[in-house]
Amino acid sequence: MVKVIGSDTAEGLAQQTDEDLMRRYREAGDEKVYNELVHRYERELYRYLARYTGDPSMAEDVFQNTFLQIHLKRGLYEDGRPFRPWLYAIATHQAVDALRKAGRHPTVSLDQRLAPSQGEADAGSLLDMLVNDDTGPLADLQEQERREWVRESVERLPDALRQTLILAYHQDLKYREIADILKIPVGTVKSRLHAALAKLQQMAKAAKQDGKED
Amino acid sequence: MNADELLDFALGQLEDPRRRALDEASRSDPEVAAKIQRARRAVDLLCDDGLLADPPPGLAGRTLAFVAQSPARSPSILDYVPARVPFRWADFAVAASIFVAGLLTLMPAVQRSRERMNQAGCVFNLQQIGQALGQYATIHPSYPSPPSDRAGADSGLFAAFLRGSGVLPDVSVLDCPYNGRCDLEHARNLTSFEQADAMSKSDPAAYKKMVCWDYGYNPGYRHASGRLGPITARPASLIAVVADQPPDDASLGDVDRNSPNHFGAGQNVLYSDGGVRWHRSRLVAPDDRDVYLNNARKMEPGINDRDSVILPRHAPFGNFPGR
Repeated sequence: MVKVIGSDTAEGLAQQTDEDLMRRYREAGDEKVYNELVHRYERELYRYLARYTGDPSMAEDVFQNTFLQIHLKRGLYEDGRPFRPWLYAIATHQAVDALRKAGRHPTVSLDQRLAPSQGEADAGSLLDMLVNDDTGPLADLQEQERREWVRESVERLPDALRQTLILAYHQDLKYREIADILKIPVGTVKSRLHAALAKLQQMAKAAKQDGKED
Repeated sequence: MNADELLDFALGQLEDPRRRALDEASRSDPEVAAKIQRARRAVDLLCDDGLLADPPPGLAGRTLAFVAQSPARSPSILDYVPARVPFRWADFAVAASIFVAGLLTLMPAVQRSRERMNQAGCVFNLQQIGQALGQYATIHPSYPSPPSDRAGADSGLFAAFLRGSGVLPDVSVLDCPYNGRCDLEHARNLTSFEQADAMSKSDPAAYKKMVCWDYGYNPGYRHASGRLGPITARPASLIAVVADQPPDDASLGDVDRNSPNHFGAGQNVLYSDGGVRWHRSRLVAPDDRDVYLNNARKMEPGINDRDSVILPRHAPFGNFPGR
């Protein structure tokens, strides 16, 4: 293997792709390379885990375990495989394990109604459903209150929908990457994301109605 | 531009070139731009929780230390196992069905081969017994037979005569290999007819253990005068002398029932000429209709010298009326 001069400096490492770094780490076990990967994903992955687990200390544990797995399973990394979906897949498995051990996994059924709520024959497309009200059901809420409502509502989503929403909206991952992480078809990712949005919209309407009744 | 595309665009999921086309459209058409704006706003309102959890200080350092402290694990064989098995379940199903078909095809052949092997073992045993009987007959005037005062002794004790005369050194030939090995350990203690007959009265349990072989013997026939006589050693007469043990008493009268030694498939019979033949039925000669019963359909010595009867080892030599 031809060694690129200067590639081991901090600047040189920063210029290399994740895949190159991971390949080098698999082959040589170089600590500097591993260090670079950990620092590169420190903020992004921690945010994902914090949001997914809903617990900063658990997120930290899962983060550490994820990189321990990367270290232990480095031999299984395949050349040409995108690193980010692989990392997220490992992190997601670790997070699911941690939540299961902690015994506080949200248990909302996937069978819950996603169809238009009672009294609505057909809400049209999802986009119509989201934006057809001029103000929107959440527009009346105060910003702080709205954010808290969003946190609680996302927490109440079925796990599959919640995972997809966090990866797509908060982590800005593409459908293809999410499909790779969750080992599901791209079409399923899209339908889950739309289902998550529809469900949140329904919850928002219900919250608004409750507010009026109160 | 449909609603789905617009939503994907708002979520940042639209791929090129549709994304660029919508970008262009939003720049040139304020109405499209407004629609996109509203879609983004709606999605943000529903999803933006305002959380921006920054990692705790030193997380990367602690992670590196944590990994460094983790026990160094030597690579196991599982690490080299491919993550995805390059076979589908259908491949396994086809392989399994080929294996099963092969097995089903081969099983009867294997079974037949084992049957032939065991049958050959049984033939060998009977030939050995035949040689022992031949040697016995050169010493004595006839094949083994008890003195008249001990005619009630079991016919199975023909082996004791052979042992006592020293012509049957190996008792393992008394075991037919087809129906599983029988324990002949106690039979090795067999020394003479007198000793065994005495034991049958003094210690029936030990006697039963000792006399446990798989072959039955012809106790002789009744002369025209009514007197019981042993088989004389006349090779030309072709009399069945020893054979696989008969079916149990309850089904002995049923002519369709063969010896249990070969699971009812038939029986090997040793003739007085020293030859052994396999018979699928109990008919062994035109004038000997049933090798296990005499021509009067009884489990007794034959009614003439051509009417051979092979008795089970526990049936007495001469236990019949008129004696």
